[in-house]
Amino acid sequence: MNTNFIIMGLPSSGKTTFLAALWHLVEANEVKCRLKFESCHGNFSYLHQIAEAWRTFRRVPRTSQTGEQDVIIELINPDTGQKARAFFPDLAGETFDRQVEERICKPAFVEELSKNNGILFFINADVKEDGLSIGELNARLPAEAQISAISSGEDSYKESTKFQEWEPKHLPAQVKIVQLFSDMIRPPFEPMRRRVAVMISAWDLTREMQLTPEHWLATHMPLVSQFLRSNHDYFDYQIYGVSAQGVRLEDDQAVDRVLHDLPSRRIQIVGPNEDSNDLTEPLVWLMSVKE
Amino acid sequence: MTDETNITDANEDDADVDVFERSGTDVSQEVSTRWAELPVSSTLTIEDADKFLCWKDAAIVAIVGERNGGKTTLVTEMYSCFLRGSFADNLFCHSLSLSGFEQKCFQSRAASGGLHPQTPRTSSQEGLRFFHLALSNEAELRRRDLLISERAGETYTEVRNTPEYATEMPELRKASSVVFIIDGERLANPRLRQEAFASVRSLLRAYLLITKVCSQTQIQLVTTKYDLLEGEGGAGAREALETFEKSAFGLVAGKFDVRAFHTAARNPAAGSQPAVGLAPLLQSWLRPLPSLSFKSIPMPSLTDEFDRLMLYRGEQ
Repeated sequence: MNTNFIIMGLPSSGKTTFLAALWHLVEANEVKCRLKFESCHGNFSYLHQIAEAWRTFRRVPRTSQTGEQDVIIELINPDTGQKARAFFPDLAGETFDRQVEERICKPAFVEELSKNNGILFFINADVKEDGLSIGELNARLPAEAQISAISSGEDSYKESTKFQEWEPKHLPAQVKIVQLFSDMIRPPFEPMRRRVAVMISAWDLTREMQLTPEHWLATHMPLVSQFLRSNHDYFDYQIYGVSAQGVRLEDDQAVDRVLHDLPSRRIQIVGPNEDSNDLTEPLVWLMSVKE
Repeated sequence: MTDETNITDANEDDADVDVFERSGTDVSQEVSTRWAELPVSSTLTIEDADKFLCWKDAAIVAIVGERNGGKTTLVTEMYSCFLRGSFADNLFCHSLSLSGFEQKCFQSRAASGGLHPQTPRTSSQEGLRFFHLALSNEAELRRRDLLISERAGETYTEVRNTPEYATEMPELRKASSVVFIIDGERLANPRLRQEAFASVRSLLRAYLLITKVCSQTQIQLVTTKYDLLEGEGGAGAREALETFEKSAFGLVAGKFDVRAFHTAARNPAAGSQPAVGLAPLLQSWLRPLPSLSFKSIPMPSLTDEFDRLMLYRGEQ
């Protein structure tokens, strides 16, 4: 059985770091995984390059820096004997930015999506408040700094109101993500019920919030959460929190603490079941969902 | 649209090139720079809205009022509520005009660099456009689509002056909800108050001119910027508004379902809540329309054999 996966997500959403960690995980076989490495074909230099950066605590080069690469990993489920050929077209996040902002996409991507492949959709947990209203911002300022439209004179009001021109790049991240999902249910994409594993990356940053991945999405990306809930006819989804890097690379003490442990143990994934190091779990889920 | 028109070359230029002299590398680079076009996500044109209605049923909401009344702000603030979570017992489901909403919202965002929230003025050159908003009720996830009109206030000033122009406005003929905006800012000023009422009265009369029969359309008198009428200072304005609402109800009584709403979509006062009064208004737009009985359509004069089929109406 061949199972292909499509990786989607805006720039810096953790797509390549996930691939690097996944490659190390299945290749090193250090911890228990639902899927195991079966065999290798072709050129693995790209996977080795990103995995090396991951193992040596360097920032994994972004796909836009290395050039887009298609990655194929042959996997096997030892419990069932089921084999899977995981094909990841590693598209740069900028490709998805262009899809939203310029309303264009690669025909090959349209074709891949028409095959009803499982989708790994990455969202970075390190969100910016890009949708903050002026009213909300003013409310956070100390009283003396608050700008009240009522108390301002007409002239000072006009002087102080200088706006940037709107451009599509100003769309808040959650709106961009909803646009990407919305595109999948309209031509030229073929509307169908798709399987999506929503991967909230840099999950270690959210630890203090004590939220499940589902609650995190509802709290920090409410538009995306509402969209997925209300489009059950088009999307069968599971939400995972993923920390593929495991530590903040800028935090030397944290890096030192994990140096002597197995690299695979740095990986954390929080899903609907128990927490684990097994990044293949969402792949198994994507493979298991009946069409 | 053919596949050919669907594909554009992002680096297209008009220079003459002899393709037989181009290397294989050039050709492969050109192929790799080809892109498929996707539908734009700005506000919908009339043609877009027609196409959409062929695909899905939608309630059309016409927002009527002269310039600076807060028509666009009313709609964009409803949309903005969904960026913070569910609203009016509904979940955001879909929008074909996400960029259209965002473009109009941007000057209310901190990212715009502005100090006071604003909404860009709608130009009369844009003609009639629509915001699309699909919502699902939280209880049953039942989807309902809205097409909300977006038109420059100057056009409605022309309708005030020449009521017959209203017949050329498709959104008025097809709307299930017609919202007449009463500008709270003008009501707050005693010198402008009666003119604000006169504006709504004229537009209401123009609407009645084009809808002579009773219909299922709901008429809504929506006072915007109501925060400016609150407190002791606004007592006179509130009283005048109440009197005006009663007289307007009398104008359409028996012909339409009519309701008044008081809203403050974007109150600039520190610590104030956004979208005050918008939830019941949005819910009223989403109400299911009572199904039209075929029997209630007047029987035309029967002139040929096919017309006899009308005799079987409602019997299935």
